[in-house]
Amino acid sequence: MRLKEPKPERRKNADRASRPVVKRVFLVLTALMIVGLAGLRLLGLIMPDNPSLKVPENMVASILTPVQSGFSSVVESIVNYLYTLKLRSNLELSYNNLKQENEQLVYQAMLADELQYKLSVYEDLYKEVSANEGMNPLVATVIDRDPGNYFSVFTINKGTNDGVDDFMAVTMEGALVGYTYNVSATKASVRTIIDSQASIAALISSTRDQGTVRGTLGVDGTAMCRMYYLPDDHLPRPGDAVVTSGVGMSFPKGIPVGTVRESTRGMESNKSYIVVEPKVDFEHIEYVIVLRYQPEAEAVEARSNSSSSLSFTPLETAKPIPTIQIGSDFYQLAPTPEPTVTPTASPINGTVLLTTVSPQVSTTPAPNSNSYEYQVPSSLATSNSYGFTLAPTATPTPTPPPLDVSVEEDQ
Amino acid sequence: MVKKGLKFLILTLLCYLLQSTVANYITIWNVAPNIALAIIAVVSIALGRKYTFIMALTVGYLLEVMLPALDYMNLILYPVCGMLGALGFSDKSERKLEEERSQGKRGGNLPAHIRTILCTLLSISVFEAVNLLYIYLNGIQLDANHYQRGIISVLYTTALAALIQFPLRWWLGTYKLKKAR
Repeated sequence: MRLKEPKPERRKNADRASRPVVKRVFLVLTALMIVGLAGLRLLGLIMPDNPSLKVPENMVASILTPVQSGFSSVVESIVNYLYTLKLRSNLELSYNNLKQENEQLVYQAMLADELQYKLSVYEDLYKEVSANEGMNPLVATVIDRDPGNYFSVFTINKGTNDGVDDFMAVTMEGALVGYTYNVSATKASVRTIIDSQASIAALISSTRDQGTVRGTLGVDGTAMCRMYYLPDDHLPRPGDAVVTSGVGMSFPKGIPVGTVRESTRGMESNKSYIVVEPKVDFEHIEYVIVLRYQPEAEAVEARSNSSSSLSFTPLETAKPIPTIQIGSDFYQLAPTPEPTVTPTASPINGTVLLTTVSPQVSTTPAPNSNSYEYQVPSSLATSNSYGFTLAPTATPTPTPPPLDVSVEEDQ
Repeated sequence: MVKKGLKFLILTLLCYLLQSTVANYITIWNVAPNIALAIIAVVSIALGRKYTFIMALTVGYLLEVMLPALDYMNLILYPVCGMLGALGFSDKSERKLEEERSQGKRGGNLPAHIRTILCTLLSISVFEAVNLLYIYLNGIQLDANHYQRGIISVLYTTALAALIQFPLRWWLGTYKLKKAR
């Protein structure tokens, strides 16, 4: 039984009992070593001239320096990596922020461009409206457009509720767009002058030859006009302005329609018209002005029926005053009579005095609200949407008579 | 025992290396934490006073040798601060516990994690107080900025100790020991 007693167990227990002692001794020795090193360090600080006290320090430093430099390089590389990550994330964040900001700026720029365009359009509209107040203008927005290839018709958002009626002139940028038709309470259709069904009385401003302008969209597919019924004895020149004549529909007189593009009427026998290039860009119509102009026939009628009838009252004839007095000792010059004040044409006591008023010469006629002739705004009068500037039309000159051939053909 | 000693040696070396290299990279408002005191406080609660003394003295000595900013300062201050924390919050001895129980008290220790935080708070507070006192004795008038930096250092180091105590205690095998009991 004794032989079977576990000797290793006893040894194990002995080992366990001896462990705390060894551990304690080890700890005490370690602590003493460190305390000794610390003491040497203190002594070394107190006695810096003794080099032997520096030996343990130098030993520790020589052992620790490579370890510390390795550890430091590892830490530095980790820090650099983290810094790079941070920088990259910051860059990405900055990039995203800048991209977003750029998108916002682009949107704002587009919005600004749009608003600036609208502002310029409104400015032009305002100028045109204020220049033609007598035409009772009304700004309308295009709300629908006929996409057909043969007709040029669009719809505006004004109707009879706003005083719009059939066959009223529609303008844009100081030029004729077309006329209203099919007017309802809240909207009206506009047939443009390039529509082949449109027919407008017009005249050539230089020669004052009258004719009829018709669209060619349904004829040959081009956004042009042709002018018919011109007298044969005048040949319009390319560049001559074509304006409304005010004949026929209730159109004001003088609305620019376009310019003469081809004038071969007298040369080719099969061309009994001239080609007129419209002034309006029909592809980009957003806002138009409806001229609610009505010939004031009622006003004329009322004026004729009024009790205060107009009567011609002649002025007293001026009697000549002799400037040389006979019988005097000398030929004396009489003082020149002072010019009297020019009488105004205001009714006096129910009568109208007809006086001779000297016409005032002005280079540019001021817009007159009571004028019945269309006034092209000054800013639009000089602008030409076709990329070239036409030479000013010369004063009417006698147009050479058409060639004999054409005359013969026409007959 | 060898394994534990090796771990302790590595931890001591790591304590010094982290304090000398990493602390400068993790500043808050230009105030670096005292990683060494935080690790010493964790060791105080996990391993006891003897290990604390050896570790604090070693780290103090290494810092004194390698980074001698002020003579004697690191060599004395680290062991003193570490031992103060250890004396206050390390595990009570059986004799002490028995004495408390005989007096009718509860006779136990606070949770180790809380003691680690309190130990760090005490150590770093003493460390910062001595530093400020040293500055003041050198003729520099202390202002709010000094106190602010001291408070930030105390709070930051305590928070750091509260965080790193979990991996360190796990690495030292404290949780394994608790499970065996």
